[in-house]
Amino acid sequence: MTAMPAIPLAVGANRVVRGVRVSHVCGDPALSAQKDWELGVRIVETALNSLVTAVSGPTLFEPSEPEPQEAAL
Amino acid sequence: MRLEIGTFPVKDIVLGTTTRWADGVLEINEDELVAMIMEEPSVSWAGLEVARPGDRTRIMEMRDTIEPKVKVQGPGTVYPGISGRPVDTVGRGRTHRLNGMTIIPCSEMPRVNPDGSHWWGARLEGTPGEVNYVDMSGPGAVTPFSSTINLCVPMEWQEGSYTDDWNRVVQAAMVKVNDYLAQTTVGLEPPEVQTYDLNQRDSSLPNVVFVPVLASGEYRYGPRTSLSTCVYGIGRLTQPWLLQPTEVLDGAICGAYQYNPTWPIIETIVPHMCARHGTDFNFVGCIVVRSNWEAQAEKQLMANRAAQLAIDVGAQGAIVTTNVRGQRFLETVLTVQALERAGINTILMTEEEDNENGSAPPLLVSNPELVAAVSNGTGGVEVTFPKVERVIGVRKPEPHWAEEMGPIHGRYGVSHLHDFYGFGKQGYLDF
Repeated sequence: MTAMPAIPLAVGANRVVRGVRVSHVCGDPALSAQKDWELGVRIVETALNSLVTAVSGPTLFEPSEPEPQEAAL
Repeated sequence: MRLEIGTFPVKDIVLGTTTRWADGVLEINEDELVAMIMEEPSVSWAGLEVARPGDRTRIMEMRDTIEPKVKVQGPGTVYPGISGRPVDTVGRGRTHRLNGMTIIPCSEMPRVNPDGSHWWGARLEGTPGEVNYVDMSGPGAVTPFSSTINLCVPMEWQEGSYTDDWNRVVQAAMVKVNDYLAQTTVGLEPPEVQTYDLNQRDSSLPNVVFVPVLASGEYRYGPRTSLSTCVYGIGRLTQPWLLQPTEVLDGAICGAYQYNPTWPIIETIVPHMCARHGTDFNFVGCIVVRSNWEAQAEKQLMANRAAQLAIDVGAQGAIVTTNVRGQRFLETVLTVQALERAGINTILMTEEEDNENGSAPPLLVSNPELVAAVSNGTGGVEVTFPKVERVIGVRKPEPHWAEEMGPIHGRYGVSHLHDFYGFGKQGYLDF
């Protein structure tokens, strides 16, 4: 889980989940407490789901989308 | 813009009782200048020390490095915006400089703020943190400042100072010393004058931009911090700045971020490119990209905006540099990609990562558009730094600071001896 997916993808990490920002990867303090919690849960669930998803190479998982995308960079 | 640079060479500095420049010797009224520094708030002690090339001297705790300059004709003030100085646009008219010397304010920083918070770079009690030093001779004398005569200004703070406040005091003292010294050249005819007329362009030559990616301190210290390299005094994360190269020569970029002093950013590539303007290419601008944005989309946006500025000024070529590795390198490499995608031939100058005994790639991240690069080494200095006779920069140096120092490996982001602009003294064979 990272705010900078380009870096782990470049070094060949197989499963990469896009987080929010460097200083708060799994949340957003600009949101209300409830929305912040929901965002964090969505990111962590995306990460857990990625572990049971077969990949053929470095793959970026977007928390806002149900299906993973092939890495572009 | 058209800027004349009047150069007054400094071959020696003498601490004495008058202040003047004559025949390459800069005399300084030591008591008067120290008293001026002591007038700044929170200063409990200040001194002056001269470090000359070849001296067995080690300068500790360098906080920044600048060349003394003064505007003698045209609008503005050198090093604009720093320490409350005017922000009038610089880069026109005539600037005098004392060349061959630098001003190096030196200070440890308050480790713990009165409210208990601490500076990111602080060496906390009981931790091994990095000691920042510059040797003036020997195999470890690898910085450009081992070839310049350096007026070091060691300072100590009063109890109860906050790091950011103290940094402002150090900057204020630095520009005060700058003005005091450079003032000696006002009314004198410079031995050498260079004229950079960047308004004149040769349509048969390619247009080239310089794109320094400069880390902002906002990410760690907040938007109004002084602990940042600044543009006209603004150190926060902003969209890219388009500056005329002569503005940079007048110090429009100034301020240290961690161990990145001002001098290498403004006194290396920019004057060299200015000197080749109209001969080899047209130097059409400097595009300053701020790094330390915290989300990849923000970094991508800055890269896109930098490329758009380059398109707008008609650039056909670009030199891109970076100044802190790690996540800052992403803005850099995305900027290279965006420029190349815009059809602008781009070369990246950068240090490489430590290769970790051959197991690590040379760059943290790359992309297919990165097709030309110049390596400036790793930031490592793989030699022993011999024992020195004199340690300056702090009032009471710890005895072991004079002793032999071990080799430095290319660890990311912590080296105070790195060379992002290719003006260090290590060459290919050293790596």
